[in-house]
Amino acid sequence: MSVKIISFFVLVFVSLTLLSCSKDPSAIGVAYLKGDLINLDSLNSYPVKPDTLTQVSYSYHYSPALGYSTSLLLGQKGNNVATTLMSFNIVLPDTITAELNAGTIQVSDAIVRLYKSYTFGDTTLPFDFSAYPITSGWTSTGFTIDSLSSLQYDKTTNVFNGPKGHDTLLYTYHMQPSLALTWISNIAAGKLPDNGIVLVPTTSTNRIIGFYALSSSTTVDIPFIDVVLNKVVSGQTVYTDTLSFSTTADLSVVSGTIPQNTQDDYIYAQSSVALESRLVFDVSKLPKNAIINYAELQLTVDTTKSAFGSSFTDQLTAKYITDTTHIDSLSTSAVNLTRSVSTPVYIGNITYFVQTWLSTKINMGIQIQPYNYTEGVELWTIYGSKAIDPAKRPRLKITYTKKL
Amino acid sequence: MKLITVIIISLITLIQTANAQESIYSRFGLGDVQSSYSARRLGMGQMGTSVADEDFIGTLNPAGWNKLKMTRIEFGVAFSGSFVSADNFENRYYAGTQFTGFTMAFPVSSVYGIGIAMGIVPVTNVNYTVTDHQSSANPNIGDYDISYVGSGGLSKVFIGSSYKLPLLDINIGATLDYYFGNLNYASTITFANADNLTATYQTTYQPKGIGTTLGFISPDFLAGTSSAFSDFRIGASANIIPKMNTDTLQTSTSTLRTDTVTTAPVNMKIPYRLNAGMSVLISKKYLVTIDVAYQPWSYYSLNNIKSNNMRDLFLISAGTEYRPVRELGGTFWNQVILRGGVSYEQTQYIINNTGINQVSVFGGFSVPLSYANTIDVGIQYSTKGTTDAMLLKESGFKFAFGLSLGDIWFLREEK
Repeated sequence: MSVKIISFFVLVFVSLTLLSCSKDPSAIGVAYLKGDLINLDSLNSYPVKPDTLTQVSYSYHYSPALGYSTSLLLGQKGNNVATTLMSFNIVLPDTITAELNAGTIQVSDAIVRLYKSYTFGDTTLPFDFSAYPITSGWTSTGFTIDSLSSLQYDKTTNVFNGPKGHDTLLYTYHMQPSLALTWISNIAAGKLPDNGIVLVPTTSTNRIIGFYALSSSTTVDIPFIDVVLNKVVSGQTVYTDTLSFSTTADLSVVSGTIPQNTQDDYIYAQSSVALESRLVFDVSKLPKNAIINYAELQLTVDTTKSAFGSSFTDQLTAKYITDTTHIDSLSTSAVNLTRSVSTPVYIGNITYFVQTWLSTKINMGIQIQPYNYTEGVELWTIYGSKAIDPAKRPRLKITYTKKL
Repeated sequence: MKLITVIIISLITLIQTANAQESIYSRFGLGDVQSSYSARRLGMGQMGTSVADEDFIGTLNPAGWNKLKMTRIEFGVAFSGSFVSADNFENRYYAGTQFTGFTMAFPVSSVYGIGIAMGIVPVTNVNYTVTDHQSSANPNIGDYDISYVGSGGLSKVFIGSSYKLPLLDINIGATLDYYFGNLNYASTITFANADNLTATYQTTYQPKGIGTTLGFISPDFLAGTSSAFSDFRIGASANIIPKMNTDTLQTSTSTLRTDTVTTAPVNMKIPYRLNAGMSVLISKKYLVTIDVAYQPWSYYSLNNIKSNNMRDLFLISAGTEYRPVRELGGTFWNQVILRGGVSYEQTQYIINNTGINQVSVFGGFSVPLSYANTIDVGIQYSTKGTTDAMLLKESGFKFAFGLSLGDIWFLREEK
């Protein structure tokens, strides 16, 4: 009897409990609770009012190491001069080594093959360059445009003095056979490898071409040098052989300056050069304990003053600066700013940045750079904080929750 | 014993999954005051200050433990359902379950009326969930919900004893009460736009302090004077609660971080509570009680700040219990105890300058499981508040279930 009674009541209670779990939330009674602890608010940098977010922006030059770039840039466009360095990985068969040491090998031709991957500027405009043997050591790691001034090379001899072949993709240049012979002879004699060549655009050049570099994903279209060897015995050519060597190191460096900007209207981001910008919004008007629900950064580009190559990733990257003294101390988290094809406005979600500024009380601003800052020479001309039209200035739109 | 174990485990499981929607008014002060801790008392109007039972552990007045005959264990849960309506004819049904307490007592001396009891019971209860749907013209915000959730409450652990004063036949009692609580108020904003991060601000109060409950029950004023009326007694008790140290923690939480906004110890002043009542037994079967309670919540303060939404609580209730005279060979139905009651409560809430009052009717019964063991059921139907002055009217019912188990412990075997 007892068990039956208890079972009955437990059953009733479980049923009632399960019944009570099906309720939906309701707004009834919210009149007494509205604003209890919490309030949603927003803060925008536009339209400009006394209580909006003030901002400062400027551009600066940064010298990135491009050794890991997938392309070798060469040419000149505007104030950008792209110079390429390359050295070759010469590995000789024992028979050739012996013949070279015996002095019975001659180099009849040396052809450098470069495969085009990118163009910047009108393809009908002039493109030419000179190649000089490098006489000082260099490595692709850490070499920047600033390193170029200390690079030593023989400027008196253009070693690409033969016919030039400019196919759709394949560019071939005949190099002085004597230089190629010197390189392979040094290797055969067990001496240190040569330092390669530097390719310097001529002043008449008005475009930039990118070639696949050793770091690119392809193994076929990377730079090669084909060395044609003749074995000569008693003045007679016994056989002809061609050895191909890929680059052992290659890179390009691009010089450039911040474009003329008399009105101080613009900030810039340019790949490879690299131009970067710093943008600082004063977020001190945010309540101390605010939770940032959403923060959106908008950058408007002047498409008429921007320049883009044949292929690039149409995105900008924003990182927040973490150190008060080093502008290049950046957050590991990056935000990509993208745009719709039809608009000149790049948009990114920087909620984490703003929340971090608020939490750490350190706001050194945001660094704006191209998404692929080591590839191409795309130039984004962005309306800056002093743009005459306030609507085109960088915008920060913050939605936040504050405690009441 | 196995049965008891199964029941306890079942109830604990239910308690853990329980989520009572008590009252949106519980946002104010420390929430709804729990006058009745048991299904048995609930069935007869919540009170019974002057009643001393031999088979029940009342927690309102420690003097009432003087008649205990056996070691007793009691615990209970309650299911509450509430129809909440507003002045705009909007209404909603809420329901949930709630742990209503655990008590244990054993008799020490029937001559001196010494009974010792201990337990844990809720004192106040905060429980509400309200979700406000909003829509912003700002495209970066769009649709969003703000949910307001309150939970927790104040509880107390007590241990005390009754004692019969020699000669005077006055029973007195006292308990040492340790009050503790965990009151959480959270407001959370969530957005339809997945890019917008959810934000929660939560305030937690953890009061703790030691108080006492003192009570007495008079002698039977009708002793030997009437055959129809007996056990006419008056009783009173007072809960004295000193200022309580209250740890306060305010946090803000989003997907990106959890931050402590403030953390500080403050003091909380909870007003004393007075209970008084009288009871009479008619024809040895019908117990009639009338009780009043008073608690000046207008003196409630947190960090020395009083609340404009609090006023003094006043409760009057009347109840009756029909208990058949126990006879050898009685049937099951001859052992069923029936109860009923009514109460009017001027609650401690005053919102928009309008006091929130509650009228309740009660019913209940106890069915025997075996000798000295019963299942108690109490039912309350109440209406609270009004839809005037932009307020809410809560019409609700409460089913309380309690298990009262008695056994002979600590009895020295004769050799």
